[in-house]
Amino acid sequence: MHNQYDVIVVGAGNGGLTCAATTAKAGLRTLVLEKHGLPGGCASSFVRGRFEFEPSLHELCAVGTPENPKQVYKMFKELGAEINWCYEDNLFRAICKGENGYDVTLKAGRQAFIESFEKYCPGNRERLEKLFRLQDIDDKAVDYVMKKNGKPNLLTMALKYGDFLRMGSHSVKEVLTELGFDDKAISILSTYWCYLGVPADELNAFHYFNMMTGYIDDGAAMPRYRSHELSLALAKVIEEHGGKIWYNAEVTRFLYDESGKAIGVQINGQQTVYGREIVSNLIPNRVANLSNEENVPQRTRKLMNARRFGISTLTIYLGLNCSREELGLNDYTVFISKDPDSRKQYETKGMYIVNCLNKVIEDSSPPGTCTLFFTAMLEDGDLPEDLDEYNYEKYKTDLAEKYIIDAEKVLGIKIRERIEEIEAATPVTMARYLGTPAGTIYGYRLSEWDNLLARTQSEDSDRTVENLSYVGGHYIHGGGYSTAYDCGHTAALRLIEKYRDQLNRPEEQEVRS
Amino acid sequence: MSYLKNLNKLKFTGMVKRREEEIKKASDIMIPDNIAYKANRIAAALHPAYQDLIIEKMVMEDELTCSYYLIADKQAGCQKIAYFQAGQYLNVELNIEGHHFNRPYSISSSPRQAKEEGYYRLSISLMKGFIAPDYIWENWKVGTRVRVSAPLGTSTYNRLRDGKKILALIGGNGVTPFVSLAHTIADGDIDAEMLMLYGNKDLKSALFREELQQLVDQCDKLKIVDVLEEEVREGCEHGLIDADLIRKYRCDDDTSLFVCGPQAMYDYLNEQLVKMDIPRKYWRLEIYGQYNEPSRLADYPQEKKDEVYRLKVTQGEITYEMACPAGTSLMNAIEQSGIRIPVHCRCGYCGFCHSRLVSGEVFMPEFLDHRRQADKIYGYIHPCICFPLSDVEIEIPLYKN
Repeated sequence: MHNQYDVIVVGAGNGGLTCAATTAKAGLRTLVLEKHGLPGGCASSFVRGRFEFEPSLHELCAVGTPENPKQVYKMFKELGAEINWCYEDNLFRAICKGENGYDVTLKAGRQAFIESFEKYCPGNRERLEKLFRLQDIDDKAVDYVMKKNGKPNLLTMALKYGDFLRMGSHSVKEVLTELGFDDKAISILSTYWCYLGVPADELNAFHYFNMMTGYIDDGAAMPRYRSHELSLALAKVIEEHGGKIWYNAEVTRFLYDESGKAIGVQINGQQTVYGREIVSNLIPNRVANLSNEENVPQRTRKLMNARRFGISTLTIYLGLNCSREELGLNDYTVFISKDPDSRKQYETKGMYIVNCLNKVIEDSSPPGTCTLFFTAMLEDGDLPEDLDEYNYEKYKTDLAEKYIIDAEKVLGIKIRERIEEIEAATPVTMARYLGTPAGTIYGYRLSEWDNLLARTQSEDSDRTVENLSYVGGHYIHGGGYSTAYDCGHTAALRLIEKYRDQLNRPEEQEVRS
Repeated sequence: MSYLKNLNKLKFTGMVKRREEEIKKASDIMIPDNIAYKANRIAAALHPAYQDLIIEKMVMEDELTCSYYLIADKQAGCQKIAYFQAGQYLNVELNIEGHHFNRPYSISSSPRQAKEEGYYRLSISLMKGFIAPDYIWENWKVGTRVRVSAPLGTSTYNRLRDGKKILALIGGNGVTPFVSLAHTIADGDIDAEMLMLYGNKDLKSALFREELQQLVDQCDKLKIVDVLEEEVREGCEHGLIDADLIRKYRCDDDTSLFVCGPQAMYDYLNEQLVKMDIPRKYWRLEIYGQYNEPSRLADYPQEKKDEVYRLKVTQGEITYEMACPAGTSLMNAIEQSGIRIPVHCRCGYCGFCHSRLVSGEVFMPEFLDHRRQADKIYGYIHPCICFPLSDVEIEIPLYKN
């Protein structure tokens, strides 16, 4: 067996691309295998008529500005990937229908956020300031844990970072209640829960507020030319540093040696390639399905069987033949719900998001047009009993119509007569393009017991196969672009560290050049 | 000091143990495959990687057109054909003298026939100078095994987008998707009215004319008007499908124009529809098929048209080199040298052949350039509509067998 590559990355999603860009740049011989003709996975785009649609990104957090760069900005910059970032100042508008409803528009920036929040829920200034201070404590605690290489002194943690331990082991709702917020404030502050797919009474507070303050502190950023720009920029880094990306190259088998170490993959049922390290951007369930049974350790099977899948979505893409101004929509992101309680929003799928990209990038569609992007939660289990391939198209169209009519009513705008292009995607679409079981987009559900911090602390015991690592939305963070990028980068740094000695060997360098 | 003193911080220390308990409780049976989930089952049924079919029946529609009825080839492991939307096409694999080609053909039968009777009908006209139809006519017989793609294409009716009425502008052989659409309306599977303006040289050369008439007779949502270029006949329009005719028959503003015909018809309509101020929402122009003569276009650098360039193609670990005349698309040059490359629409739209232009310069007809904006910045192309203007080097996707 001959190792043709140091690192074989299976799947060119966000995690796979940043991992490969980082290893290629460090001089590891890197091969990326992507089953589609495009890089990016969810981070892509598609063209219908004169529109190019963003398929999945709502807002990228942890970007920051050139003056105040945050981790995603820095990562792209360090890799040498040039992105045309566009920014949005408003955080979101949230409309809750019904008796205890509200219609609020919140601003980014801590002070601006507090001011805008006070307008709708007066008297919460001090509580919000506490919430932000808690976030600062969390940041310091994380820095400390990192500095101790993940092995912090428990006494120090308990004495200095007690509130981090509390946030890290309680739900969003528990923390907000403890801070004294009332139901309306809790509802508004929980709005982003759907980005993580678990309602506020179950969602880990540390995880949630970490994301939320990210949006509040730095606003949201979008790439100028849809997510496809992000993916091509990373693909370019990989190729510039001698890495290879093969498209239409679907991994059909994961290969192991007699001791159970991962050693290579089979592509398109035809050829095999071998590598020192296999990095899977595919969800572990798929890897298991593509491996011999004896190569899936018992713990891995138990873990996968214990877990539930994360959410999937109904997404509706509309190209309208009127400008955003003519349409009369002044917001980039509007969350629309019919009940203020996030548990009810989750159970009844009574929450959806409407995005108008032209608010952030005016010319993201031709002059005199605009696009709308609806996202509603929809899971495999929500698909009707009698749904099949024959009535699927009708189901999808009817469902899209229902949401469009509701949005027309809630937002007071006319959509239907202006539709020039329409596409709707469901878990079936996600299952088709992402190849994930049940069409999950966020991997595994961030359940109360399987939350971010429990996963982080179990990382070593969850890694059961030597030379096989995982990156992507299904890994520890359970979804989202910035965390998928981050985990790809982190995985790459670990491999670079592992092969550091060989990287510095001059004869190896020679062979490579 | 704590802001959260009523919350127990020791809960944190139990988190890993709690997680381990959940894992311990779980079964260790092997993980179910994707097919255990409904979303994946429907996705697989609608979008198989390919379909192995067998020709069950052949019917001559006229002297130059043959309809092939294709059913699932169960022996080859294909249990049933994938359902489709009227207006979609199949990409057909052909092996001509050891070279592999793909050609898209619109399905002329209805979705209901696929569902209930298990067949697709492809109607293929013999055309001078075209390799694929020629080959099909010579070689396809009852019992021939054919591998095709899943149904593809977005030229389908959507009730949320399109008008309640359809004005179909049909040029000759472009009729096949409309036969499917007419059946679908007659079957009650699409709720719309359709008036077909059917352009032909004369009435006797109108393909599927009888079948369409039968549908019109049995369904009051369908109407047909023949537009004859070389024949004057009562009840028919004389001449070509032009702006005046569109004005005459597009009586209701909520009417979508669905167009399928020869390239010249698109060129004409693209110009006219703008002048007529019909909103873009109501045009559905798409072509499936290859663009062959770039030098016909005004912005083509005429001095290059007789040049022959070197084309270097990397696919996975292998690099090939070949000649590519200026008037040949990169796709055709690649296929003719025996390399298999993924391709579906062959007209720049679907993006299945998405490739990286490593070096060199290519010409692509602007109206066929449906690339994503970032592709233009990062130098990605669709080789099916690219013609070389210099020596060219590209990286193409692998081919899945």
